[in-house]
Amino acid sequence: MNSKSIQQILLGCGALLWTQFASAVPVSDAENNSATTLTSMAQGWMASADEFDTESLTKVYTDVNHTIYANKIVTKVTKAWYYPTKAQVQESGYETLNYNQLSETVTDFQAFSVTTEGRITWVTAENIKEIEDDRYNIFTDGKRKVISFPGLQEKGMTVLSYTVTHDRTKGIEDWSRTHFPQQFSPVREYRLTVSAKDGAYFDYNVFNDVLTCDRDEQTLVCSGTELAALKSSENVNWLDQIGQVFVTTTPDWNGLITRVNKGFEQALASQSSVADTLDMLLTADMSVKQKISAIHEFTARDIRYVSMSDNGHAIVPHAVDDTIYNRYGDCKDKTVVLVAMLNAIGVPAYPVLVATDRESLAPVALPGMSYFDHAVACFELIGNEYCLDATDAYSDWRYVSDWIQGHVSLPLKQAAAPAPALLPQSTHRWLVNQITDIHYTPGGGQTEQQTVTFSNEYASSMRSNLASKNTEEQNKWLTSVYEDVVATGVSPTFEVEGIDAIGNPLIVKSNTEYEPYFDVAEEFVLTEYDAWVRYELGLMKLSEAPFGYGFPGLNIDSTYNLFLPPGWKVRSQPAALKLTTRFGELTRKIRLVKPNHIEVTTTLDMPQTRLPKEDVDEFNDVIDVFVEESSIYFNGVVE
Amino acid sequence: MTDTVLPPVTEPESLPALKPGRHIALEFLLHFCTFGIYTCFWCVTATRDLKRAFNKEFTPLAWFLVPLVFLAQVFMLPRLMSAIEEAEQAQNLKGWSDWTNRLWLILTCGIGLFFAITSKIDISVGWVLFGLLLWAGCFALLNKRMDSLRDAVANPRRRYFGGYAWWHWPFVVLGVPFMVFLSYNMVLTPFLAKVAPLATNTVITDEQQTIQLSVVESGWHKVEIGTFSDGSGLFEIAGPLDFQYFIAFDHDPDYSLTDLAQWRIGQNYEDFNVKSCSENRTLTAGTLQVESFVTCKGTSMGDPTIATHHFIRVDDHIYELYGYLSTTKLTYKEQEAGFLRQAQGLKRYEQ
Repeated sequence: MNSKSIQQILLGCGALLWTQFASAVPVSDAENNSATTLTSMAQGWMASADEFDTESLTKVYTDVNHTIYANKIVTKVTKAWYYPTKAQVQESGYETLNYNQLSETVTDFQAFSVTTEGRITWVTAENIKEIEDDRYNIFTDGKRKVISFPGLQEKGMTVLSYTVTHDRTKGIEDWSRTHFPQQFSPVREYRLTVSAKDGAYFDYNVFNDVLTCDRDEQTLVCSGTELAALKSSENVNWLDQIGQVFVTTTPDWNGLITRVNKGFEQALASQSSVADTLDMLLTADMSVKQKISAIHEFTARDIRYVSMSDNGHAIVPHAVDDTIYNRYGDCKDKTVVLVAMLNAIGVPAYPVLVATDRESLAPVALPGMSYFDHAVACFELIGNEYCLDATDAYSDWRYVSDWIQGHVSLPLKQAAAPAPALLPQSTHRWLVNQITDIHYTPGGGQTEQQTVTFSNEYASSMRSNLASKNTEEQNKWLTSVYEDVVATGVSPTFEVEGIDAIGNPLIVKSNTEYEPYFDVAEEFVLTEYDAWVRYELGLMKLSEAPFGYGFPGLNIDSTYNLFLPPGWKVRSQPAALKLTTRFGELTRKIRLVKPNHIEVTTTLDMPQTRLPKEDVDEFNDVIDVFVEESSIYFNGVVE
Repeated sequence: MTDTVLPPVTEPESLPALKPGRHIALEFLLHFCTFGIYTCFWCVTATRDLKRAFNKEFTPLAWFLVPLVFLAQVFMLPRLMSAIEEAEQAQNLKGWSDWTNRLWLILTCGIGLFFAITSKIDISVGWVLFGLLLWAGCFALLNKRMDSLRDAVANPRRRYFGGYAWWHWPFVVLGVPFMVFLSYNMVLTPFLAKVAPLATNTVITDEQQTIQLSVVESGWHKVEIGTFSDGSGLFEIAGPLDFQYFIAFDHDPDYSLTDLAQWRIGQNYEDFNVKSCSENRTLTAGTLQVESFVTCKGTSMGDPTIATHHFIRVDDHIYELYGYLSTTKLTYKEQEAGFLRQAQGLKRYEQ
């Protein structure tokens, strides 16, 4: 996830959920009093604007106050931003608010901008655009309001204040919020207050201290000042790393599972079309694995992804029959169809919630639904756990989809001590086998026949790139891959096998002719790059990983058959390799098949691992050594 | 009246020419400087003269092989001695005593056996030269005896120039300094350079204490730098065999491992008859430094030969342990494993 999208999420965090407002201009006496207070505060902040960062957007003030009652939760939010430059005004002069239209109302809305001269411009209904929150795979029935602050200028401020009331009697009750005090901009003052009324229950968890928190029996108060801006960086799962305060009203995981399962059971109750569908999909002579494959392929490829999460379907999936009839659904709809069909063939499957942005269990210490934004179906077969993602139309059922491997998940099944766990990960997510025959020509050119076999997750990735392209587009794309991996300035021809069968490897065969490029002398030295080894290693090198890195695992088997013309003879063979490191191994064997034919067999084996940040430099060094040594040098003579 | 018919008088000029007499020292030099190859020609000449002047039944050309084949020596040299003895008796010459004859035969056949063994088992060049010395002496003595015999007949002699035939001279002129050079380099210098053998597990380091070599095999000696290298080695050790040594080198940091490996392989192709070369690369234990072990195998003068190059990286420099072993088949088989063990022992210096 890039830093901008993270920023958008963080700007929307704090669960800004509201529904009813037409104008932010204060109209009542109470609103007038509140507005006066806000404008006074804004003028106070503007008076000290000289102290703010002159280049970066600054979050001047944040105050979030949750009051938890037995039947509702009232959240008051006030926040203010300072925009030092015109560029900041252009890029960030808006607020995005997500809300649940079924269970939440917004009141006391006040928003305005302040110029450096102190002129205040209030937000009106004309400055607000409401859009469906159609983020992929999310358990919310949300809408999004985008507020464009009128009158905002450089060195100006925006101030936003509102109250959200969450009705605990509507929908499947599970209220939890994660607060991220730190932003990609400096934060001058942050305050979070949670108080319980009527004996209501809440709990909280602070991960990576950024605030000072005090709690008594009824109230939690966390505060902090001058919080440094997060530094944008690649290879970071921010939700696993940044400081966060999680507040929940759910006392235990089993309670949460029971409530969410109720919705899934409701969807499973209507599954009369499952039997007919299975009759259509399966034959009597199919093995259990073949049946699972057919069911997975049906839910992944014959039911398209369409999210209809409104009307009470934020967490509750649509009925199985409806989804099969409509031939569309979102992740939870498809999952529940998978569960119904797998159960029908005697494979006891269950839904599993997935947090697609989290790969660490550490921040997920307390129960809450808000961590999760995806669902898959899991089951055990002959001692192995399988998790099928029906939203992935290109991955085989035997492995977990690449994009959610190792992510935080919660099986929706009762257990003695249920807790989130990480989804299984393949030892090698990227599996490639390549065989290349190179015939050197007497004039110093070569012809090359290459067969590259992509397996498992890699096959899925390649398939997703090729499936929707016509032959011409496929050739164009494969040529660009060939240019990245092997060589430029040539015109390879391709044959592709296995695009449609998601259970099979994907095979790309290429034929390439190279014009003469080396001088034929009595004695010659030739170098071949072990193309796929070199390319994949290049991709795996980490430019930065300030919090470590989840290395996905890489395995490449590469064979080069190097044929010299008649009368040419290999004099010194390429080096055999056995380079063993704690991150993996590069091995190479050499066989002189004939005086003019060498077989070079290379295996790169780097299993999946979690790299702590202190290992990243060494990991990169290993990559460098492997890249350097992957080249195939040999020397020969023309007799 | 009885006519007495005298046998026809044969003019000496019409008799076949024999080998001229030669001083024992000159004869010795020819055998010695030609590594005994002249002995083959001597045998042909000697048997031809015995056949021509003394009617002994020999096939002279077949005698060319006698000095080369030990078993032939065992059977044929006694025949030669008997023929000489009979010819001496016919000419009323006093030959050697039986004991002297036997002693000569035992000594000559013994040296022949020694030479036969040297083709299978590596024996120091010094001992080989010593054997050659005795061999040349034996045949020089026998030639002296043959000269006495030839003097007893009237056959003319071929012409020599200063004691040698014209084609002998290049052998002697080139051979004498070559043998002196060989003796000095292969016997005297190593002998003088050798110190006490290194105990196993002795650690040798360079002057800068950057690299070290543990001597894991017995019978090795540290020798002066320049004994085997051109003087650019960091240290050198010699094995128990003449052509068995290791030299440590520090290479120019501009060269890569691949450059150096390819260069050494090319050099080996020039130095001996290489059959195959191979290279293995690993990581130095506990580091990400790649080290390389190059092996080239082939033959040199018919003997199995191996050259090894163990390259390691220490602080941006590439150091090499260059190893060379060339010896007879049986000795090679016996020595190869230990040599390869030793060849891979170069390491960064550890205090």
